[in-house]
Amino acid sequence: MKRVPLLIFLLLFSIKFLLVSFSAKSPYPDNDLYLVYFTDKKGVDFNPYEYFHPKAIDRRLKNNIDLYDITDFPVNESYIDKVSLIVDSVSYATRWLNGLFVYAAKEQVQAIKELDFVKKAEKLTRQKSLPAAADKKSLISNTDISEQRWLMKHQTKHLNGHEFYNRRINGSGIRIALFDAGFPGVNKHNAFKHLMKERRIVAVWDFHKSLYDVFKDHVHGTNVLSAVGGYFDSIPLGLATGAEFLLARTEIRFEFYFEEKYWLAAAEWADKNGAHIINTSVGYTYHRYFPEQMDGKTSLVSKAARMAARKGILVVAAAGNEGSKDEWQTICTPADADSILTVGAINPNTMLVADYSSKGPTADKRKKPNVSAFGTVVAAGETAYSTPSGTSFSSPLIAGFAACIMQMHPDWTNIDVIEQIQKSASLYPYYDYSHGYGIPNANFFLNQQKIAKEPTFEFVINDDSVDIIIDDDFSNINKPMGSNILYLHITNNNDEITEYFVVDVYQKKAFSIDLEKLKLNNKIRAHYMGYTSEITIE
Amino acid sequence: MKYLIGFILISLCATQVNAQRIIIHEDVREREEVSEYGPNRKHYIHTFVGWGFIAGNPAGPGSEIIAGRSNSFEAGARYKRKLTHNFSFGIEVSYARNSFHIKQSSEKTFPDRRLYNSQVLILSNLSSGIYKRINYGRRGNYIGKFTDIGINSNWVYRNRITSINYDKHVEIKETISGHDFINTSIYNAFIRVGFNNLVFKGSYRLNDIFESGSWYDELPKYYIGIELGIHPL
Repeated sequence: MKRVPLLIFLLLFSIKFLLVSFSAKSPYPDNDLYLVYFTDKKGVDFNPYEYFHPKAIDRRLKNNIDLYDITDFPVNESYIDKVSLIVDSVSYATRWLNGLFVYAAKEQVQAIKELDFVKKAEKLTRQKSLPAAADKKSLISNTDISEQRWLMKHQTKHLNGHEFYNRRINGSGIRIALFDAGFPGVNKHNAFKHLMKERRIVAVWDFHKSLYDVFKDHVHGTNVLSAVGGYFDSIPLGLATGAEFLLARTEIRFEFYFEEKYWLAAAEWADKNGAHIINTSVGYTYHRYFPEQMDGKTSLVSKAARMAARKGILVVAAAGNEGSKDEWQTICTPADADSILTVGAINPNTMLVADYSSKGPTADKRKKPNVSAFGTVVAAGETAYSTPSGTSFSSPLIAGFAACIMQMHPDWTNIDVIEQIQKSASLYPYYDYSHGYGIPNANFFLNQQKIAKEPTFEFVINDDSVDIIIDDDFSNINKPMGSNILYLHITNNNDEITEYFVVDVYQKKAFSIDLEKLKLNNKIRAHYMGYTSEITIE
Repeated sequence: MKYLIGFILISLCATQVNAQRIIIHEDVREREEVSEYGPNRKHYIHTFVGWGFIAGNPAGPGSEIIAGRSNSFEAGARYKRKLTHNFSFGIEVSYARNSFHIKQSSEKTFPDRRLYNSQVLILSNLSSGIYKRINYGRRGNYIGKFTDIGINSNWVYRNRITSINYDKHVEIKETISGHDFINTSIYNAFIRVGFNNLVFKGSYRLNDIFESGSWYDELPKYYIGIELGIHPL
């Protein structure tokens, strides 16, 4: 008898859950969501000076983007009207993709497809996304006070970001858009007092509820904003404490809806409102995609991110937290998009990749992640501070870093910024799919002369092996284990990395590879204490 | 953690083998191989547990059960073979325990006419089944929304009837097992509707629990319950 109430509860709970799950329908019409693409924008007028914020105009001019780029023109109203007559309801018209999101039944979609101005109609299913935090547990991890103090200083210092801060380079004049699951407490928390006081949260929009209110829902966005430009007392938690912000809620707590559509709409909104940078600490993985689809072309959100990059916006994306999950491992989308800056996570304790950080390459073998930063930070929450982990927090650290560079070099394009950040990174020109080019360094931008690194090791080819021998001056054999790290990778004939290693050096002969394992024209490239060298097998 | 374990193991071996301390080793080629195993891949195996009510009416008043108390528990493993994006088929094996709580009324004839404070027939089964799955919607490596239809065969390896009476707060419990009027083979047709790992299940028993020739009214044949799929990737 005791089981009966429990069973009834379980049944009622599951009925409720299923209703919520299947119904994605509650706030929406009953039909599925489709994106209807149009063939053209004939007869449409567009005045960029009326539509865009002046910062968006400046960004276009700087990036040599035509102010009358057809992708910025509005969707043809007559097309929208004609489609509206067929479907139950329309949701959002996207200029960039020249399309219209509609709720429609199959028969209605068939009728739409027959219209001569319709190119195609793609069905979008309800899906689940994951804020790129490692897990809920780590979001509220209890590190001790001294560890938190150390962390809050070093989360910017490991990028030498304090050098920016000391020179009052803080992203001033740069506009950063954050797309996330909500920003509760931002309008009240001391960490963001400077933003509220100086009215530097210039626009907000909840794309789910169509409201001018994002200061509620999931705290993930608050954590992320904190890592871009928040404070703990006088200690900056991110590097863009002087930037302006656009806050968009694009993710939903139960996450069964259409975040990718919201992401696209938010990107167009951010573009219109003059964003220089978009930070996206959300990613989509196995619920909707397969790892082999992480090619920067398959997902809608990836197409949107690439389009934002084409508009001159620097998109900074979290790589994802699937690195230690055998079934996925690879980066999520939109981190797979081309021409954006994808950021992996560094474990602050080891200064090596955090095991959860998603790895590259993309499915089409492009290099991702680009760079890395701490994946554990002290971050402001709704009322207090916590120590969350995940690539969600690596990404905003780099978004803040990029804002400082954009402030210093207003003439640089988004692609210039990506290239220069990569060049500044600790491993550059060495690369691996866990660390990218390593940790960016603010000093690279402040001290323009890059000092050439003297050789720290050499390759020695033996009859049956290739050895890496550390020079005497750099062997530091007596240092504790973990102090001296050798990075090396092996590439195939197409210069694609096939294998990579991170080795703790404790003796002169740091590493040895059997020649049997190598093929002709394979390359071994290694990096040790700032010096990178390579050898080709001949 | 994977790296840490690797690090410790390699560290332990390092001094004896080739004196290298590899902290991270990634073979990118291994990840280029597209797996055939996964929730929405060619092959997939997962476990499940289910619980629900036995429902419906008996064939006559002699075998009324207490609705809401008579229940069934199931735990098993399921194999799914994907045919197309929308269609799969599979097989499953499970253990099931059916509890029929007999209503104590004047019309009761099963298992006898005596009245107790409570009385329950418990069937312990081993089951095997086949099913056809229809999946809905675009999805990644994820079970998603689906409808299954299938049949299963149950071997009732144990049956027992427990009757309880209270005499001045003293429980008098009588359990008799191995009744030969209980069929050892039972067949069900079932339908499942699921959203990923949360599933609604309904089933109908195709044959009688009681052996032919038995004079008992047949027990209710329906089952409605929920199931939780455990889906490791």
